[in-house]
Amino acid sequence: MIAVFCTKADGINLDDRFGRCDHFTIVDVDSGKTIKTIGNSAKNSSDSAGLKAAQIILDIDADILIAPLLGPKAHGAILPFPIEIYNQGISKTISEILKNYKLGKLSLMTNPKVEGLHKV
Amino acid sequence: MRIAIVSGKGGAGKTTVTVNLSAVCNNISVIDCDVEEPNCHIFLKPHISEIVDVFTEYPEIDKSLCINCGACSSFCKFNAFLSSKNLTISMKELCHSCGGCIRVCKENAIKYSKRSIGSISSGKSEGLDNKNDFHYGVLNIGEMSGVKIVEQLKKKCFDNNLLLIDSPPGTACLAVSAVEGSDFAVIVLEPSLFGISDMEMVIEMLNDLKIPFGVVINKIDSENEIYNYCIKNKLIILGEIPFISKIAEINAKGELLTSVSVKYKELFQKIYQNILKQVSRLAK
Repeated sequence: MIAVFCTKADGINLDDRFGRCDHFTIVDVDSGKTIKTIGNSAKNSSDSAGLKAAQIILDIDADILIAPLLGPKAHGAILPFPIEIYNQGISKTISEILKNYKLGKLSLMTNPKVEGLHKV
Repeated sequence: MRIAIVSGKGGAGKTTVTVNLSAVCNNISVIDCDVEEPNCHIFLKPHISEIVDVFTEYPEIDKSLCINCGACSSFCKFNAFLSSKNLTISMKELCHSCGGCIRVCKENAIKYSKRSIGSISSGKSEGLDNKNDFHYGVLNIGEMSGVKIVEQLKKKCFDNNLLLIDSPPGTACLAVSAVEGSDFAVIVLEPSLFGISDMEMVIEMLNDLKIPFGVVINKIDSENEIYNYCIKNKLIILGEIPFISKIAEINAKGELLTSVSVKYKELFQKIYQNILKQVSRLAK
């Protein structure tokens, strides 16, 4: 099972943005090992960073996405695809989240309904 | 001749200038391109003889033909497609109807459908003696772009007539599409810091589009430093509208300044004459 996290460039610490996060870190959930860290090419787009990032997530072919709050467009766009989106919540690291995921403590993200999060 | 009435800031007085100018010219057409919030019709009180829908096109994917190759999603600059190896979806509200996806889809799985994004109302302005041709567009609530409506509005008018274009405020796509192709632009300037800084962006836009312009200063009182600003920046002042409550009252009633007082009629006649003077000077 493959999970994608929104992280800083170090691939360890979590970013608090989805569309404009530094890197996407791809992790094998069962072993807890990082498979790959890729730069987020959507990071500096003038608009629709969330949707561009959504295509990156689809290209990774992940099973689950663990992310900070997604905007309604990105959330709605990913919804038809077989990817589960979980809230990363207040956790700061991947290992912390993986522990919570295995304990069934992560919550599924519902559509935020707030247009344009526009986090800088 | 096409004259666009523009401003950087909303509420500067574009509509006031447009409708009152239209009242002092003959053989003129007026189009209200501020499709997100049109209001010329409040003053011109048109008898609407025709309302037509404006359509936009958006892609629909035939799932039986789609092989999820991702050509459409990697082509589309507006992210109107998302694709994975098992599923491709289109998001119609993000589409700009460029037609590129249809060309890059080798499986012919994409077809355009139509939906109405708004309408154009046409008629004669009953509020005026000269009964000018008048058209205004309305964009449906929730639609992203009214550019298609503006483009069709501009086709409504004949080249031999004088055309007044009430533009949307600012310098976004909608304003650019309204102004594009005009022979002259009238910037309505409100003498505030906000008004000036927003106008500077409009000047940049007009210079890019190579459209000559002049300025009408609205809401002016005697102590304004706006004159110095205009002189310093070599802006042509076409006219001034004083900052008095009487004008606001007339406007709030939805009446034309020109039909209330001869003084205002002369004021707009003078603005019109100054515009003509500038246009003929440029023609030489």
